[in-house]
Amino acid sequence: MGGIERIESADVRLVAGTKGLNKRKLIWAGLGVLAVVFFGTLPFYYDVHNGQYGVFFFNVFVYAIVAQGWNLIGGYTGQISLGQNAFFGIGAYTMALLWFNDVTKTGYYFDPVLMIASAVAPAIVAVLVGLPLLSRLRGDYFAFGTLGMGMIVTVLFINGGYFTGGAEGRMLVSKMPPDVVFNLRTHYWVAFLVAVLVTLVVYFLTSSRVGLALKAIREDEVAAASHGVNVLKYKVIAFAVGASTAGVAGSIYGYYLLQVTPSNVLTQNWLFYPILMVVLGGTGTILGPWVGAFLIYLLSWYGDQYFTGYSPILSGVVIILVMLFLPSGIMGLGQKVPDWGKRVRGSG
Amino acid sequence: MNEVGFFTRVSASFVTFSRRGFVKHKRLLLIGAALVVLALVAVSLAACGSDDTTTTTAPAESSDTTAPAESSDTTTAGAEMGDDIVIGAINSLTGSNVLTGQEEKWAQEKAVADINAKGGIKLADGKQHNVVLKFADDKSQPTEGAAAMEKLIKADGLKIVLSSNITPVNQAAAQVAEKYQAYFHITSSWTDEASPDGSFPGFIGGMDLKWATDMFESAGDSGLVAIGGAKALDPADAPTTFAVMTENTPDGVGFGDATKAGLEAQGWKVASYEKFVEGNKDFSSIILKFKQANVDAVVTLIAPSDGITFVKQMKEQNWSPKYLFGYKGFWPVDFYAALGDDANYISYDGFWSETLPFPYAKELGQAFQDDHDGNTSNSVGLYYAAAQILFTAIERAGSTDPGAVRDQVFNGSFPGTTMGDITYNDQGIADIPFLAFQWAPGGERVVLYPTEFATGKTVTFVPWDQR
Repeated sequence: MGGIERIESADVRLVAGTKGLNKRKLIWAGLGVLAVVFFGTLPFYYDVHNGQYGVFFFNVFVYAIVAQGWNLIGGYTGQISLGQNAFFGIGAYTMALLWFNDVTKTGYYFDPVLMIASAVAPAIVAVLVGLPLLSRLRGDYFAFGTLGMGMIVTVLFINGGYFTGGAEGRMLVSKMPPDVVFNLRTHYWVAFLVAVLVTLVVYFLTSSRVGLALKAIREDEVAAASHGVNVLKYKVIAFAVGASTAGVAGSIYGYYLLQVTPSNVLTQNWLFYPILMVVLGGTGTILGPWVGAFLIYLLSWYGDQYFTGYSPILSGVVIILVMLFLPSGIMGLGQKVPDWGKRVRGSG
Repeated sequence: MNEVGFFTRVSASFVTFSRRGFVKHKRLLLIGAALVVLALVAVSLAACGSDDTTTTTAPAESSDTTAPAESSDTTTAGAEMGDDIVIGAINSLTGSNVLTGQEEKWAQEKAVADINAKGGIKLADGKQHNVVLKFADDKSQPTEGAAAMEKLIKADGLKIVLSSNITPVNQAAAQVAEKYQAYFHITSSWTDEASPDGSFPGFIGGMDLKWATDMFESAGDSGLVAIGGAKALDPADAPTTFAVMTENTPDGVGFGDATKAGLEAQGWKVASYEKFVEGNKDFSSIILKFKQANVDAVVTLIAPSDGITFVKQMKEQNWSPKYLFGYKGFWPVDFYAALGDDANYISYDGFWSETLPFPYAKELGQAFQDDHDGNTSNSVGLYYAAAQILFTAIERAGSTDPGAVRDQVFNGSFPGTTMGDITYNDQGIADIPFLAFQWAPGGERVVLYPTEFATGKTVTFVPWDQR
């Protein structure tokens, strides 16, 4: 292909892309930019360290990261993984053990090398576990397989002796550089940045040929395979990317709590809450995990304050209502309202 | 596994529904959406409008508790009343630890009702101040314990907080308290320090906390209680070969490792160390191992439901060690109710007894029985004493400044509590002795150890075929 042909080809793609940017997408993109600007600059006009909304949004971001990862596996690929807590824990432990043993010798507090390692380690485990599980198991059986993997990982860390710190895990307070004072603002920004990055990764992944393959697998594996989609390859890719996002979230939470133990980072809270968030927000949508994380944590936060001891009931009632009347999640509402509007206009 | 299977299917169904949508239910969809939006708006409005308010709990009502002082300008003694002192309290209001959480909550509310009935706490301003508690639910999870501490500090503005009663939860919450210089008054969490070589990180004592204190026992020494109970057996019946059996959880393995080491350090032979999955329904292979190893004494950390299963299978296999001692799961009233006479001669740990010769112990025990259909508790005195100590520390500090209150507890002595005289060291740790109990026929709790508080001698576990 010559140079001109390449330019013409690029122009065609550009025109096609511009046509794709319809009004609705532009509105969403605008809202997204506004949200990023708002949350990104919040620490400049609000004391996120001492104010309650700082830690509130920090937790929302961490949950949104895990939920976005599960969304890629469960929502876009249709594979129900019940092992996200294991990947969260592996990520947290990777950061903690490398930091505790001063492997990188950087002395940094938020060491980017450790955070990248926290994403890579769970991805490797996901590939090793995913190849046999995803090639042989489907549906409920795959879900049980990942659940079993989570249990195995938990027991291994509990009984890991000196290497993992055993049941007591690793205390990281003593590893804080002496000149660093804990300030939640740093954690807020890191969690927010990673949450945005993960969202962009999932967006571009699902908008690409890979995403097309994932959606095809979700709809009908056999049909996808018959059209030349390498089903196992794409399922493993989704599983590994979902695992690495959970791992990064684990390292961020570990940096926040400065105490990584099996009961903190391998608890099934990091499995069930993110799934609920995705389902509530809308499976297979980019903003669903964000909306779900915000709503579930909002219910938990204020439910605990105003209905102390009964907040799980409040969360349960809302989840039941949404599942009954909004089976596509909150994001499904956006698609339903125009339909309703058309019907009203039509009847008028 | 049934719950997991159910969840898996429900998750799968959710995803399927989400993909397909419910086209048929547009009207219901709109009603549902409206309800959700209304609920969220209500929650948000309530949240926004209540930033400066504080939710308080009603003081406990009990038969022998005087009604708490009402918010008036003066007390009956004529002292001027100041604003209420609001103290945070993290508690397992939901989740697997809720039974213990309820006992702790009862004791804390009783302590508050009693101090308020006496006119409250006098501060440096010369005024008397009533105490109110603001509870936060840890949901029996460490991550939720940390979140509960965040909420109390940031949403409620509280910087003096009473603890929950599980070590991992309190460790997580303590990390948060440390960051915001809030004083965390811990009880019921292992006090162990780190080992010199760093191989064992310790529990609360190993965290080098500047803003938390802890009144409890070390996990390493907790095994001594079981040994103390064994030593109280008739020498002719004394066991020789121990087994340690524990659930394969962080708490369980921490306990199991420490207990095994403690028993061996005392010169006892530990022939078997078994870990099992929480919720285990089949202990037959473990029992068989114990038989083969000629084990005649078992020390275990086990949940009540697992403990009931274990004892029933011991009976089915007609295996009777001379001594069976259980932590965590053998002391609840429900354990005795489920097993009936089969629970007789089983020993267990506890923190307190109404038979202890300490001020107000008998009255507190009676109040608990009055409120709980005659059931007794072997823990409420500990939680009550923790609240007593905190109130005293606040009064001594003359203010509710968390640093000033903390400084009163570090190196502080607190005589006359329901746990006796309590002294904290310079690390903010107060070690208290555990008690060993045994179920006697009829469901009576007999104190075996420490010897000076014993209300009876340990009775050898009567073999099943001789009952």
